[in-house]
Amino acid sequence: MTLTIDHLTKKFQSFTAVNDLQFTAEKGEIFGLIGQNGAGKTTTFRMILNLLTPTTGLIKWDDKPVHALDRDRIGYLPEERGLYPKMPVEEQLLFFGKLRGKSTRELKTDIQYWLDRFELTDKRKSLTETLSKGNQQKVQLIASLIHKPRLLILDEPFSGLDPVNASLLKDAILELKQHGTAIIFSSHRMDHVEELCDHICLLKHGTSLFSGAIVNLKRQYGKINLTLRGNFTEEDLSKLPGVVSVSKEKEMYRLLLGREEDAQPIFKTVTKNGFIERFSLDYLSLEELFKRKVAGDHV
Amino acid sequence: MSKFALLFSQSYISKLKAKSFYITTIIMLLAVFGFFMWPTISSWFSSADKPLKILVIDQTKADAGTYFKSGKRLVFKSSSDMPEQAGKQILKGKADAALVLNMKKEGGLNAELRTKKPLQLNDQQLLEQDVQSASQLFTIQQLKLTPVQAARIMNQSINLKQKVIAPSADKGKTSKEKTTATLVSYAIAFIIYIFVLSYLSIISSEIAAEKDSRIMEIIISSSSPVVHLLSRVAGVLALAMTQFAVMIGAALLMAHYFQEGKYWDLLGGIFSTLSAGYVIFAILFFFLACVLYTLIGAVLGSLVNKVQDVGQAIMPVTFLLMIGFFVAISGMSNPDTLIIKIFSYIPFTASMIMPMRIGATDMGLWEAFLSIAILILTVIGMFVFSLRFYRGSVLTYTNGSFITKIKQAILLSR
Repeated sequence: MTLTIDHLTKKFQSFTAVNDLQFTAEKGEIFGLIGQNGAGKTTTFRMILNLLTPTTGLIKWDDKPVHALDRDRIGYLPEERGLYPKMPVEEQLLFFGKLRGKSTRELKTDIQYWLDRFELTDKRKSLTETLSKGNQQKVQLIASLIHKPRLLILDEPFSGLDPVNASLLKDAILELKQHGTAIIFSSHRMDHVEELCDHICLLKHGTSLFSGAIVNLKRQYGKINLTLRGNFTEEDLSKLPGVVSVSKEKEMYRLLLGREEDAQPIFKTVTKNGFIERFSLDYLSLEELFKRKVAGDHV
Repeated sequence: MSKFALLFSQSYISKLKAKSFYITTIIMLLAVFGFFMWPTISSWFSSADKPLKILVIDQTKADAGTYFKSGKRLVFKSSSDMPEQAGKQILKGKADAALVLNMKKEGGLNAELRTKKPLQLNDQQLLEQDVQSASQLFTIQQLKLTPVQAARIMNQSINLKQKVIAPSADKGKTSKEKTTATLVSYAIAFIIYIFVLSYLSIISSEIAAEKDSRIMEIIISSSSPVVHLLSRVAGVLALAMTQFAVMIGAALLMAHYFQEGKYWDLLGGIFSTLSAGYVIFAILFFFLACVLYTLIGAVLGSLVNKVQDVGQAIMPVTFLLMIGFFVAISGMSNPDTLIIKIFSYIPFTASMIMPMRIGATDMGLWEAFLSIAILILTVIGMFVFSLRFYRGSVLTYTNGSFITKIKQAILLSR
């Protein structure tokens, strides 16, 4: 159960929306497709969904072309949410479930389960238009997974959700992962991507800047993110060898190093007068990596 | 349940349950009810109207006044007053008008009406008819014809027999058949106009709303563009046919039970005059018009970005419909003009005009078959054409003219 994206390119006349994209998403894996607006995420999703035909390249599911894949096996949450405003929640979920080939009987129990899980039980009979935006989004999410898809595509699932609902959503995604669903999702929120995904693909103007495990991306740069707290001045710290930049955040200094190897001499220097409150060396966060990659590697 | 059946029933049932459907159906039923109850309703309003009392002042010295016979609306009363005295009576309200009759020098009748206020149009027309026939009778009398001669002039029944001499030609329809068909065809054109106008906007709004809310992407990715387009067109058509059936059913019931079945007999008369071929063609044209315009509505709905833009998008199509309807109206007086012939072949207007030609002119039946063939080919062509870019158009959110949108949609569909 592997989704393989093989040298995928989509051109609209002279404009290249997706350029030679490659990645794989395994069964029971959460794959993050990240990039700025217009990077080609939605175009890629639409090609996987067979809404658009690739200019060149292949999309394969278990080594078979994806258009041969049973449509009922895919779940899709579009970026801009769409539900029938005048339809009650339960009826809506039944409709989308049946659209993916499930019977009413199978769906009833699952709908109950997911409505409970997303704290929507009391909204079962409510018209969708009367629900808050966050609740509508939860309904939309249930609609995309109610038929137990093998491949679930989530386009910006977290936008507009408050922290409580976002964590409900995260739990749901993890549950599907455990059941073996391959999940691809796009998000602007790097913290969510970092928390959920094992593998990512970083897109810029349709081209992949990085594709693989998040750990590998982090290792490319090494541990160059140094946090210090103690009796220092910003000026002193910026003069230390190997320091690229210094910034003060609340009571802490954040130092960006040129190389991981620069850390040890710095440790010696800053501790030569004895005790300091904090010295912590880490990889760059995904958000920082994203900014670096997208801005063109050296910032 | 197949995906088509699911999408079809969802589209049909949701609209069947919608308030707007109930409201439009009720309005249509009220209109039908009003039509059948019209004699009763109009009598409520006109019962208060008293007939007009008209004094006839005959100055011809030849008893011209005797030719004026009182009717329901106009009551003639012969008066020996002079016009001035009569005028005073009118001003006092003792009479509504005075008709002063004089003889023309060359013979014939001169009439002058004196009233307090101008007559209403229908009274005016009635009076003109009365004066006209009185004048004829008066002239006949002046010519000193015998009563038999006079009767022969007055009771001329027109008897024009047509004989077509080309050997292969049809023997032609009677003028009664033609008149009936003209009236029925006008009714058909009107029904097509009303139905298509309302269902055009229903389907384009539905599809535009699905596109706008991105439900379309989910539906199309889980079934196919063909299934979606077909299910929406079929759903709206089924709704239109439901409403049509309700209307026809109600009309038949009302015709049977209201006004002592007067309308029922009238309908029976109409149907016995119409040929079976005409009825079949009329039904086919009505149905095909609904299919064609529903399809156009679906395509327009898929091309706009927002539901609000639907009104603007369907405007040109509404004009097309209006043109067809007006041409059909022009055919009421003469269904044999060139313009009618031309428009009876244009697929967008053929349904409103061809039935009239079939019933009210002596054209060859091949013309009807040709027109319906053009219409069917257009429907098929429209369907194939719209499928080519339907998948792309529901993903297109650019602004610009319809041509640019269609171009882009075709590009995206590749």
